[in-house]
Amino acid sequence: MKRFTALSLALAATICAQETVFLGSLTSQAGVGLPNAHHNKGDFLLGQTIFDGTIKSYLDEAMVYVNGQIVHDALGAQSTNGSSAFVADDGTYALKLREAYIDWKGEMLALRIGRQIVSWGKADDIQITDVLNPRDETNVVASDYNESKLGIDAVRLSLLTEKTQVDAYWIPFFTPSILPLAKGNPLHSRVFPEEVDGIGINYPEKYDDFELPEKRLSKSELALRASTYTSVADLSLYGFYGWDDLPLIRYNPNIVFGDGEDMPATSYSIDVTGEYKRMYMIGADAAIPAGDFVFRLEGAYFPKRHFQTDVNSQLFKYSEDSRPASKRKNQVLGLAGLDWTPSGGWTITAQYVADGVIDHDSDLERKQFEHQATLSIEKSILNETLTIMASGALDLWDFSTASELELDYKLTDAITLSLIGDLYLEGPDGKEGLYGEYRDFSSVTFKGKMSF
Amino acid sequence: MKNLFIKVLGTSLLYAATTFAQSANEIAKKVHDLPSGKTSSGTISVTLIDKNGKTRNREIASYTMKDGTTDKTVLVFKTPRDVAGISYLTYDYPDKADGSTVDSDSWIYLPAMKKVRRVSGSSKDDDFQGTDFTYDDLGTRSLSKDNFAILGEEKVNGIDCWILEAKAKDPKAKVSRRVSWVNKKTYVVHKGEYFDKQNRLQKTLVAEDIQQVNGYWTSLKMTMTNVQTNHKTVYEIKNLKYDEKVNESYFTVSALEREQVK
Repeated sequence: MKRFTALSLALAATICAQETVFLGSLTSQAGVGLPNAHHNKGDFLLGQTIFDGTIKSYLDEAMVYVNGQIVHDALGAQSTNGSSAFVADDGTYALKLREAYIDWKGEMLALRIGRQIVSWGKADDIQITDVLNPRDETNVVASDYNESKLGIDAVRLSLLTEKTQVDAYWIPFFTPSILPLAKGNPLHSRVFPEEVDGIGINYPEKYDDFELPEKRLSKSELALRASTYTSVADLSLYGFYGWDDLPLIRYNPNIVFGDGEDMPATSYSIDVTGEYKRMYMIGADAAIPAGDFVFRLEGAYFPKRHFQTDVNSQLFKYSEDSRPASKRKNQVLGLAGLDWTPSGGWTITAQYVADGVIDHDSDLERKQFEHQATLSIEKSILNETLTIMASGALDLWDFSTASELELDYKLTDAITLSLIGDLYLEGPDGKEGLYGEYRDFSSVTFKGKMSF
Repeated sequence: MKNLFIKVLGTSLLYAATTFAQSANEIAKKVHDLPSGKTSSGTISVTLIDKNGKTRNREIASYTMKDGTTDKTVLVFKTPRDVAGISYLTYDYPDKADGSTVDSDSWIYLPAMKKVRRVSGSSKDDDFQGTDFTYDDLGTRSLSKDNFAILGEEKVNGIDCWILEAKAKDPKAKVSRRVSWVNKKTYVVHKGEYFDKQNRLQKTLVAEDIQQVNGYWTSLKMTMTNVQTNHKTVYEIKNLKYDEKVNESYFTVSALEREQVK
């Protein structure tokens, strides 16, 4: 009996030491194409209701964290990568496990095991060193860079001191980005057109139609981050050995000839396949405070990264046996930015980003050098019940632009109503540049969110 | 951002000092230097009341620690739910020997971004999270920023107080003048008036529920009213503990990023 009592007390003490928190939200949003969205004008480009739930349970120095979503998509735009979401065949419902991990912290060591989202780098909404997490690439309307990140299944071992942190990651299973494979997705016909110039294109229909890395130890990913935080600056170094999250596309002509010799082709189509390639990255960043300003710097070097070759080169320049879907080139990315928080509740952020491929060749789909500037201005008024955010990106090569204006009004502490306008414009003379290809997705979105 | 539990202490030594005539600077320094324990923890409850009486509430877990001459503060939002988990870490440093101020080191963790961001540590006259308090109102504003004068003496709720004026040296300061009613015995601020750039009364402060907690005088409830907008903020401190063990690892950037601070 005594033993039982002692056990009960011990159990009670354990239960008392445990603290569990639930955070939930329900978001409903609908977006419609603006008059400049061409064939998408007046069409719904977004229609989602999302229940998001997070459970955090603390037990002494340990924590369990689970975040998942149930999504209803009125457009049937949901698709999966076989890992991050379970999706109905028609793309209307999705069950997503965004994060689920165990976290433990000792005196100087810490361990996190399970699905987790990691943010690297000092850039805002621009991917430079932030390469660990793949993204959900199924939506560009009112999309949020951070919300689009997908959890990776990883083990993270950390060495912690007061001013430094070293994180080592082992990512046994590769998680690719989610592609807009659902037929109902407005991006689908843009990314995967069924025909071009009358030629049929046979794209993969499911995520596993692409050539994914095998689930073997040798196919694991590894990553390392070392950071220090001082009064002068926050500094980080990064290293990554893994897989590029987007597939490289191979185009194969599929010609069917008539019966007999020297008979003309009776049908011509293109079969499209995709494969994922290894990627290496070393990078560094810094955040330097100076009065009302914080200067941010970030750079990354990708040695011998695989770059997509363009469709014409693949089809007409090479024979079937030597047709490369990609070519390996060195890439350098850099960012310089500043945050300015003058008095009065203003936040102003500006960034310049440069992206160059060394020893570029004309077979590559992308330009040798791309650069852009971004500007974001945010102001909260009425005791932070109304927030106005304006942001934009200017492609400095072709002068295409992406801009967004968002108004968030807090109806109550729990309910926020948002109006979001997205505008994508081509550069002069119809140059697509970085953002012109999204011109059909200029839209206005209404969103309601309740947090509980 | 220094200790957000407003320090309103008087000790026996300070009590003895009241028997001597004191200059405005000496009084200001004693109010500024009121001790508040090596550590503190508690929950800050903030109620915002607009001119129509509509209320909004925030609850924030707060931990502070003195590390040598550095004051370290961690704040974690608990409610409203849409900002739950947003955390701030601030290291405040004492003024330099020449009286000039040293910018704080500040970081913010945004759960939606899964990222800690370095933020500017220089703006202290901005509103604290949409309330009628500024960071300066809630911390210990550097003495070097103001010129002090005693405007007179007056009783507040039967307590003898000095009327202490702090006039901002910076002509561009959002608050040009602060007038505080300072308890002659304890150096507690019992009420205050804040004037805008045009020297018009902008805000009034009323301190209530002044208690000794673990031997330290603390104002457990303060109401700041913006008389120009009729917006009001009630700031209350609950479960306040001084000098009890606080997990030192909470005051690190990695603790913010790991969402370790409860």
